[in-house]
Amino acid sequence: MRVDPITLEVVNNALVGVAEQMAATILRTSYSTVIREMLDYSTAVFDLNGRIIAQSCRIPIHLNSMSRSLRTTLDEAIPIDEWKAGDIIITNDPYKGGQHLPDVQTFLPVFSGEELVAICGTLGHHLDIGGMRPGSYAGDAVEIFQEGLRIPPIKLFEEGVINERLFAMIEANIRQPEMTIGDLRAQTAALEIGRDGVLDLIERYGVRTIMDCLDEAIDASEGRLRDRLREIPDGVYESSYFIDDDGVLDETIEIVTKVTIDDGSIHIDFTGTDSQRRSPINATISSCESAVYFAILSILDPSIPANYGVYKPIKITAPEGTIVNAMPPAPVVGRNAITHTIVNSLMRALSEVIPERITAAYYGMSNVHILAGDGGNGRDSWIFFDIEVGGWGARQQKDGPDCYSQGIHNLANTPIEMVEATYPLRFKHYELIPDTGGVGKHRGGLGVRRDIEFLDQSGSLNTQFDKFKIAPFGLFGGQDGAKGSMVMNPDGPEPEDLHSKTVNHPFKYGDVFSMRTQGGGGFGIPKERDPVAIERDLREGKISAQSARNSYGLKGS
Amino acid sequence: MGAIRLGIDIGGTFTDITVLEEDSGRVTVTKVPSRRSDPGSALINAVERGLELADVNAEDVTMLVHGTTIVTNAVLEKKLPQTSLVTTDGFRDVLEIGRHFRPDMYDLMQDKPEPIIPRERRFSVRERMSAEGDILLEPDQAEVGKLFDMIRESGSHAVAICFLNSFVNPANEALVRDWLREGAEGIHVAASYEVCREIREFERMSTVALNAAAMPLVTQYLEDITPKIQAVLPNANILLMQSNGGSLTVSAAQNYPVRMITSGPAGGALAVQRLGTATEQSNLLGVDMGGTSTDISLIHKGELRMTTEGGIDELPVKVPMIEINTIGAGAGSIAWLDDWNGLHVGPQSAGADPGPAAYKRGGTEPTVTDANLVLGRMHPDRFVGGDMSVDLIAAREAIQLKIATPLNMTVEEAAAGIIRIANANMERALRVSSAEKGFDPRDITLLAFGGAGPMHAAALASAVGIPEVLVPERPGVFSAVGLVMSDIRHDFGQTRVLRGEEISGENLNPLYSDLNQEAHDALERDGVAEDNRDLQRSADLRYVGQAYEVNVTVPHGSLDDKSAGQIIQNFHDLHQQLYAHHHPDKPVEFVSGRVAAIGLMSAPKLQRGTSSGSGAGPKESRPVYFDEAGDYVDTAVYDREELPVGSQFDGPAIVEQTDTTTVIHPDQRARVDELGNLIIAIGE
Repeated sequence: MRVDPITLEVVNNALVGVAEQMAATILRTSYSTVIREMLDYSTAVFDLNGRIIAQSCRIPIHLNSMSRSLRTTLDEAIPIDEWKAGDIIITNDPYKGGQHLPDVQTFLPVFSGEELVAICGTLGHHLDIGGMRPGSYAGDAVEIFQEGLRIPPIKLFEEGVINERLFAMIEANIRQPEMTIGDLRAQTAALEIGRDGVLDLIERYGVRTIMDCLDEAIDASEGRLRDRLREIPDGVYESSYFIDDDGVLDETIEIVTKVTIDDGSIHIDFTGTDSQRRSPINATISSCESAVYFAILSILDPSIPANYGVYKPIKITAPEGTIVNAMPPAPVVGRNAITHTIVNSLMRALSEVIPERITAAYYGMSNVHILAGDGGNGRDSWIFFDIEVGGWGARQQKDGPDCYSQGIHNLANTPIEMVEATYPLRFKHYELIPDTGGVGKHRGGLGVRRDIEFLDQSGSLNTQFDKFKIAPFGLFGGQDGAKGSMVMNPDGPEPEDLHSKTVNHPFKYGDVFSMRTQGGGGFGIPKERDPVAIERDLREGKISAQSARNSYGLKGS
Repeated sequence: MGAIRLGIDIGGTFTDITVLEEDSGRVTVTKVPSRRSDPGSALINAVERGLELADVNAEDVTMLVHGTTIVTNAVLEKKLPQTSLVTTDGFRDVLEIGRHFRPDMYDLMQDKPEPIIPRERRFSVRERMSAEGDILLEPDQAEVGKLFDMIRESGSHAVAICFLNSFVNPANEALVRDWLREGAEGIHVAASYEVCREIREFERMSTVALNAAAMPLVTQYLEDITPKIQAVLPNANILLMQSNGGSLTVSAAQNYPVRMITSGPAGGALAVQRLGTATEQSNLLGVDMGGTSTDISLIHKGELRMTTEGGIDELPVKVPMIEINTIGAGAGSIAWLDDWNGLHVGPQSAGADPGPAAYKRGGTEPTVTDANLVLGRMHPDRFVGGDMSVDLIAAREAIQLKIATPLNMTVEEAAAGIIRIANANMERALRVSSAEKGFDPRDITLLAFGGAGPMHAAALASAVGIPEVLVPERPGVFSAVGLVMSDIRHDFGQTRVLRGEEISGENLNPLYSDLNQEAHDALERDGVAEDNRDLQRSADLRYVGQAYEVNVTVPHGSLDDKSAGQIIQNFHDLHQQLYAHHHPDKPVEFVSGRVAAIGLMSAPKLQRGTSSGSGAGPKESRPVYFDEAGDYVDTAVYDREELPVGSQFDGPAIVEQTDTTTVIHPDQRARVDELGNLIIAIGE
């Protein structure tokens, strides 16, 4: 050991504290509801090799890809000796370690005197980054060039001096520049808070000690994950799982996962997975890796500090040109259809060997919906972006929570009153849907119904949902959770079913958009369910009397 | 004889009582064991004991301020009375859906917090208010009438009402509240707009649900104790401590019990502020370290910091409360190794039972207290003034077995490590409370109290860069002292969004005069004379587009455009201070006006230091292990009671008293100030 275990614990704790301080700064000073209410942003601290050291509790899919983005920046764009004090580097390029264009990352080098000692980073999901559709979710894009502005790693600030021309260039290419620029300011303010926090630690412990702590922390996380892997019998565990369709062609898309565990290492092989699409249902390698890292860490041992060390025992084979490693110029904004499916597929693969550590399939999609007002006739245009979640998969020991964030994302909903105060929208409904949780000894979590009335003259709806055709699977006799659906004007004379990946559906005054999210899969044989739990569900209206009778065999109801 | 004030703080284990004689400023403090089955008689016991000890007459007691954890405990132990909720039709699950953000990113076995009102007792009525405050659909009396039976049949003792956008226009909520009060007699009714008039439906609903659920509990309790207190103290005005540091009358407490949810720590924070006023220190960090947790509060420029974003047990509570950061690090926190031999302290605590290994009550896990014993900081024979016996050998064995041997360290190194990590956990929270908010630690005094605060304070201050530590005379019962120093307080707020030019005297004056009127009405009801009323005005502002507001002071008197400009300038300045940036050319939005209605109780003066210490110097010296020396150092041990005002001595030193032990490190210097406080100067 290079440092004593006490200093190590003290420094590691303090570094996570720095990442959390950065996160608090963004929350307090950001502008768009995407960041300030949905909490769609992340912060982290890296070492000089771009290895992630400490992260805030935000969005797993961001956090486990920021490291690759930074490493790609260092290797391919701006080598470490070109990073100067006061620089801030910006990028959103999915083909340089990013995931999709709305996710804008910023990095700042921390200098202790002349010596570069660490890098602070932030990632924020921006309301709009240009492209064909408001909110930059163009379901009909066939090339990344249609999805918005692509920013390769470039200096936004050079030695403390702002690059006004770059700011002007970004502003000219996006729909709501005041939001994006305000949020970017919040991200850069957070970087400075992070830098001060790291420098304070260095002043107290010295550069060498801090560097040793970073190495030690990475080794410890790697060692602990390898120990967990050694507890699982070596072998090959296979499964596959599906995405409804790519929004253009009406055919399911398969993700194949072959997991090999061998003496403290794990290999995930996606060979056999379908090829990339001419639609935004594609993931770049960093999205794919991030989903795998999240799944393995959360299944094997969530108490291991999440840093670069947990990536080391994990090997990934993702053939180029498949939907899990798309090649340019494939569009990628809908990559979360892939990443959630990867997580669910890995849980199914490992369910036979460690059933006590996984869940049945959860709702399985970041259910993105973007409502936009066209503006004109003296009215401002506007964009409302939100994501809704559904039910968790049930566990071997207990039910899945109802309507709760699971998997690679972790989002808060936008308060209804905040939306109504900001946009010409009015909510009609926000309730759990009975009988949507997969039936089982332990019940899957319920999906939710959320209805929104459009109160502007004209506008559009764009969505990225999934699991409308493929249900979240149950395990060990547990049944599937309910599929999702969307309807326009559900209570009107002509309700219209919508496709999960709706492109530019027009809105007129008074239209009601209704979404019903997916339930989680059940776990275990329904007949074994505790009658007390069945009766409670019945009393609370979470299951119907019919389901209690037919699915669970409850007598006398 | 002059007027007497009593403070009674009922905790889980002990009930603390404070007697303040207003004329002399003399304070007497003592403890009696709490009795959960019959808190009323324990309270009377405490009163009698306190009066006897202070040797004063019951007839002279003019005020009794009571701090109670009855609401807090009922929430934490999930023992709230059954309650119903009535929401806008289509939204009965808002309370259960919550914000659906999970607190742990990776844990697949976590559960969602249980809603305090289950689905079977959540009802809805057809009604709707627009975001602008227009009534889109008025509730129907016949439909509400059908709810009476359902609520009664559900076994509910209380009902909460929360409609969408009621914070803009409460008309529908008020109507349904009145119908329910008439139709469902004997059931407590709370409407969200009365408890919390703020945007964000889930947070408001959670607040009113907790309030309604606590109403039957608090009403019953107060109806029990009030006559008992009146029988003993015929001339006392009875007040309840609330989370905002002010006190409430009995009738207000029955209507707004949620305001008492963090009243325990609030008493401590208030005591910190009042002592700061007495010692003329305007920036203080209060560190109250007890057995299982540590409460941290910040006084900036003499003012307590308030927040409306507090909560309890993962449930948001959106009423103004003193901003207190509670962390799970206390004297009973357990030290443990993970499977890769990483050393951690807490958040699991051995509590009082079984307690630290040294208590020999079945606890085998090493705790922070065990580490302090091993290092010689506490004397095993003088624990709690010698009332309790502890076993040093058991403490050493636990640390040796569980920590030192696996890590291949000496038992002293391991114990010092446990202290360092516990301190680091607290330090992270201290930074959140100070440096993160833009306050320079060099301008702050750390005020340490609670049973364990003074043992860790000097090391903590040194780590954070705070130059001075203050340990009050009776740190173990310091929180209870806050009770007798509280004023009556009500907070009023009204959301009214104004932008740019609209932030003018013309718009602000009517808003604040309405709030002023509400404030005066409330104080009138409490019987506070006009001369003793203080209205503190403030405003929540943000940049257009931001979601979170910054609270700034609003000047007294009539507001003109110049004072509106000053309010905006105050906002820019504070934003810069808090978040390291501001935008002078960006449009600013006024969101809510606030008025705190304060009924001033005459400010008690504090008596000068009471200890008539002989100044005899240290009573002994013993070896104490200091991390910075890497070894035991021969250390002088003083008796707090023998230290007269003005005495000075150098560290390393230990100061012992019945309720705590203070550690002064090498290169630090201590003195006793005029009020009897122990002041430690932290060297660089």
